[in-house]
Amino acid sequence: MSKNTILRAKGLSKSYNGVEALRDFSFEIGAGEIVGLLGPNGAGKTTAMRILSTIFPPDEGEFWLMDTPNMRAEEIRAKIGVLPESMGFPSYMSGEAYLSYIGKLYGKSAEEAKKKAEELLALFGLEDAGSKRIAAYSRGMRQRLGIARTFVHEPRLLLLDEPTLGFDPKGQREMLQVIRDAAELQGAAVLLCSHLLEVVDEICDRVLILNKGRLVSAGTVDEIKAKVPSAPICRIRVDAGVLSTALQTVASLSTVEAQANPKRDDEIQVAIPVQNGEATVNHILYSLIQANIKIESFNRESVRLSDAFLTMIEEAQA
Amino acid sequence: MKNLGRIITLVGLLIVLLIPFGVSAQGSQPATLSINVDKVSASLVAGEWVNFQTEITNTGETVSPPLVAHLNVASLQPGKHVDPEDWSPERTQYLPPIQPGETVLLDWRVHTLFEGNFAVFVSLVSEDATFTTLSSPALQIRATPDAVLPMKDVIPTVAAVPFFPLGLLVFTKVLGRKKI
Amino acid sequence: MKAKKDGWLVVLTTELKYLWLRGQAPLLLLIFSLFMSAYIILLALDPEMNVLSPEKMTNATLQITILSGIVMVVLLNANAISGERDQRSLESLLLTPLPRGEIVIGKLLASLSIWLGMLPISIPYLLLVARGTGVANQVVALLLTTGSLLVAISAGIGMLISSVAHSNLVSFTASFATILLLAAPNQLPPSVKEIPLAKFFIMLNPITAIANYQASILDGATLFAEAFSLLSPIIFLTALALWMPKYFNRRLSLEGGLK
Repeated sequence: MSKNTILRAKGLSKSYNGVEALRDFSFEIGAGEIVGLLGPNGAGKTTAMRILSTIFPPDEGEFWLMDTPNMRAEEIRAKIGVLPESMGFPSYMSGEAYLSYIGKLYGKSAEEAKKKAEELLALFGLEDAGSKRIAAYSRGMRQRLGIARTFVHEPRLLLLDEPTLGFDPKGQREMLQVIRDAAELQGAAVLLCSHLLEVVDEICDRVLILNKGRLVSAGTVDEIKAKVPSAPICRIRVDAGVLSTALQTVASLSTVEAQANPKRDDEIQVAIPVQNGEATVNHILYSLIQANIKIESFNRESVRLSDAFLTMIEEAQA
Repeated sequence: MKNLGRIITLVGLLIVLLIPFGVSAQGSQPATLSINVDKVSASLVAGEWVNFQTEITNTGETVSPPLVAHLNVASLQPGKHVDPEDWSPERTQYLPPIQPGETVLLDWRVHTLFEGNFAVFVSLVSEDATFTTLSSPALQIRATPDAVLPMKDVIPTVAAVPFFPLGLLVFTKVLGRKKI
Repeated sequence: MKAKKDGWLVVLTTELKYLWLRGQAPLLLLIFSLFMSAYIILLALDPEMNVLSPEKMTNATLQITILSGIVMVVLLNANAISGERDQRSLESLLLTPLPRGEIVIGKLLASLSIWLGMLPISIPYLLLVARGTGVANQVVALLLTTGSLLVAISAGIGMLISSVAHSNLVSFTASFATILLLAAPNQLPPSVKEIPLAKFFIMLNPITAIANYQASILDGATLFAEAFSLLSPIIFLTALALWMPKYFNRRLSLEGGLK
């Protein structure tokens, strides 16, 4: 384990009534790193999260949080902040009372816990609702409270399941910034599950993709995207009168496949190979200019993480 | 003559011996005393007292000997034992001789200690050995069970106690809003 | 950051605060007192009941009081764990570094506070029924000792069942059924109860042992004369108190179940 490694998991497996939920799951997360855990429903993400949060032990395998093995569950729990998939709250408590209570359970004195609760309520935009009962909170407010709860004790590892669920775009952005700050400023490691792949794309340094309980791919977001065999697309708009000329010019290049956009009479679509993609794009543009074709617009779509994710899941299922 | 004398002596002796019996038998007139009770029956709750009166009348022509009136209680149900001593504070009353035509009224009190059917009667006895014991008709007592919890005793407690948690509830509702 | 050593105390004080200041416990006490008032009025009105000997009536009232205590603590214990499961709020507690046994102990002790509240309410009713019997002192002593013992044992059983039950309803039903099952041997015919083996099991069973002790005290035995029959309930409660935290540390799970 390197000095900066916060979490190291080795061969985690879990079955429910003979059905395998997670199989031989191994990975590491370093300090300040944000890792996305992706997978379709039933892939084993929640199982992995619950094993890592010591809600239940793995059938096989083990993990360490810094130097603490998973057998010392209470010590592990003291160092992690967890936002479970759908956490309930004692609805009769106020938000502030709830955070204070949790703070006291983490060993803070009553005064410290109250102070921390107030800080967190302010940080997560709940200062006005702090004294209200949680029963009166909206879904978004509960989600904020749930995330605030994970920060009660300055955790070294954050396990966040769908942290932006129920947020509007502004709230989502604020929340991602809080997570980024936790990683960058406090050096916390973050393992994040989300179905919103643009969120993962935006915030995660690395991605782990699970399917049917197995790790099917792991790497940085760019590495994952690069594994997609389908080429990115270029969209070139020209004058409708020269569309066929432009199409012939591009099609004459042996390294690319071009076709007219069936929905428009002024656009051609060109599939760019992953290898030497930049050079190929330059070559296409150069050929069109050489052929005196005026380019109205040029748009290059990069590979999206969602495409990569879907491709990998399809491959794994095949 | 000698035999006649013996006969006269024996008859005389017999008469002497028989005189006291003859006088005595003539002086007691047991059949001439009557005793009655002013109630035939009484229904009450166990624990209550029964008051009744007996009327003793000398219907004969001779004075009665001094009499003793004695109260008795008998359970009419097998297996249920009554101790009359506990049922009446004064079971025995002593009467002077009753003149012919005279009536004496006696008051009695009986405490029914438990439920059941009982017969209460008064017997007349005398020190005079020739007096035949006489008993009154029985007063039938039917004692129903005593209520362990009379409603008048229950009301204060059952009405008052709920006010304690009610007060607590109101107090906590007021205080709770401030504290929670 | 480490959990407080007295984390159970944090759970206890928080649970007490919400149980009492939110009005839940006072409301339960009000319901209990109204129930007892109604029961006493029925006793007074019902000629069949009102002819029982005062000792029998006192014993019946004591049993009703203790049974109410059992219902209350089992109700609160059912809510303590399986209720949190129903609300999905158990995970929040399980994620704290507090040993799980301490969470349970804190909640269990808080639930027993309702019994402490029931005692001062019960005593006037018991004294009313026991007046003039000569067993008034005994019945209060029995309420405080054997009643508390029985309620504590029932709370432990209720908490164990609540820890594995998937819902409140299952927890409450199963807890109550278990306690009734344990009490059932008392309904056996006297001839069967006199068989040595049956006698032994009745003594061994904490609930029947306590019921027999209560009956013998109200029949005139002194409080200490038959105290040996309380041995099995005391041992049972001690074993439960020592074993439960360890059990819950290992076994209290998010989903419940026996595994």
